[in-house]
Amino acid sequence: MNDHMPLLTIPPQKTHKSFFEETGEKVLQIGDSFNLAFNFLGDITVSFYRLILGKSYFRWEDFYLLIKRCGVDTLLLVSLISLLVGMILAFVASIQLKMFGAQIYIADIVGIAMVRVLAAVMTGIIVSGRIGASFAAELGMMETNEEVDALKTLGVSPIEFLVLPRVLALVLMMPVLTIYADLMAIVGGFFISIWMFHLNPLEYLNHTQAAVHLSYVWIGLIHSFIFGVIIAMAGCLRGIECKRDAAGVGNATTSAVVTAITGIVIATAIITFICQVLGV
Amino acid sequence: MDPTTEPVIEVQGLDIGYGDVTVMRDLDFSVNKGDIFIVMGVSGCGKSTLLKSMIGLKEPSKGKILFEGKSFWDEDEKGQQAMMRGFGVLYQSGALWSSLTVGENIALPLQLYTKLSKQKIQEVVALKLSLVDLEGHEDLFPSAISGGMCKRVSLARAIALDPKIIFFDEPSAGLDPINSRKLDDLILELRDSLGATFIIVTHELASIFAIGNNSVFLDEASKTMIATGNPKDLLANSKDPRVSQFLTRGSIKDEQKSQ
Repeated sequence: MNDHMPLLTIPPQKTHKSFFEETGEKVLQIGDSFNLAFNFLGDITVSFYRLILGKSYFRWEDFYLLIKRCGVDTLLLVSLISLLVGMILAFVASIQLKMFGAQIYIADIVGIAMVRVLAAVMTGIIVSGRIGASFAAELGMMETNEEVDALKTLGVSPIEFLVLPRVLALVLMMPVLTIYADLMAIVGGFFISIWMFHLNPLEYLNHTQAAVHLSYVWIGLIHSFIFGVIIAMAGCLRGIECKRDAAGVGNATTSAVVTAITGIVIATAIITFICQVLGV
Repeated sequence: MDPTTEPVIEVQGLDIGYGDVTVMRDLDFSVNKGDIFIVMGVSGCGKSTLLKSMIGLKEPSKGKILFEGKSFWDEDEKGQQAMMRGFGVLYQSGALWSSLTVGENIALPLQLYTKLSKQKIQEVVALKLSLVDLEGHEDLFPSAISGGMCKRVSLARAIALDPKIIFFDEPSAGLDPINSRKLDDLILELRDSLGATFIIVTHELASIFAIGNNSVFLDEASKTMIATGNPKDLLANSKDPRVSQFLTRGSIKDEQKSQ
């Protein structure tokens, strides 16, 4: 072997970008991310239209399995978290209300807060971590294993075959899970009020019924529908865009959860503002 | 079946790359009907990127790829999809759809592009599986079979629609020598029985010499093709040290070292 031949050629070191350069680049990427997300939403809408026309390649058996998965995988967590949030809300409300001897209004606070917004937000966060992340990991692995390429070369749209069933399953299941979370939270508040504050059970239920208008239920359902779209889109988009390297699937999963939760908070703020303006 | 001189694929002045980075440029070669055409070169030279351009996954920066005289990248989406139906592709990882069983993987192309009844599709699936020696494995999921079996199922899926052109990306990767040899024999059998043309991306010398009758050699340093022809002829006659070095597993380098 030639003694003068270097054993290892060290590539020239990359010059590190300054904090401001990196921040600037990230800010400029926000526009691209929005562009990508809207294009993806457009593709999903076109696929849904093709499904209605009966032209889409949609596997109903996958859809039913996904519906089951979205429900079964999250039910226990939704039960626990909603029950506890209902209890916590009852405790916190009681701190002020007991000073005025108005503890019966715990029922109003728990009912209105959970049904209007909190049950949907809590369910959305649980579903982001449980289902959105699994969508990203699953599609990321499929991208890495060239399964998505295999679909494309067969002339099958990955949006129709992989993304649309996931989006529809989650959009369908989110309102169901939210209604269930509403009930669990009310049960949590009920138990604390009866057990700790010795309120009359019938009076508590009557107060809840009077406070929670049907319009609040609809507002909660609108939240959950929009959250379903956000979570499914974030999971599927991050999965499909997954890089084919060791960190790719991990990054896609993390990014899916972060994107979904950020989207949920932003959407909640927008819906709340709109409801306020409309006086609902 | 002997290869003819009728070109099925013509690559003309092709440049491929990612963004501003050119991976390969000025590629010109043709593949005749019935050829087992090898795309060879060292790892990372751009073989798989070239394959992606040929199977419609990556648009080239410049040049044309003609299939039976029609330029793939000049066709509209419908035209491209129609041409892609004439392709079978075996990916490096097998790329079986993990949520579908072995049988469903092979049945999917048939469900999409034929009007065969369920019963007929099952018969075709069984036939294709028997061609790759995997009879009776229809109900297994890809996760329950070995890597070699995955490759064979993937081959059965690739030939489900009896395509005119079959592309392979590193078919021997991850296979032991015996299974690799079996896959080579299977390719020869399929070429004879289906009359298809095979384009194989590989750097497995045993396979290159055993089955290839035509080839192109891609060079990483000059970013272009530096040789084309029958691999055995290239081994015997090529004066280019890069080609000789590759085809003799670096023995030219050994000679140079001893000098």
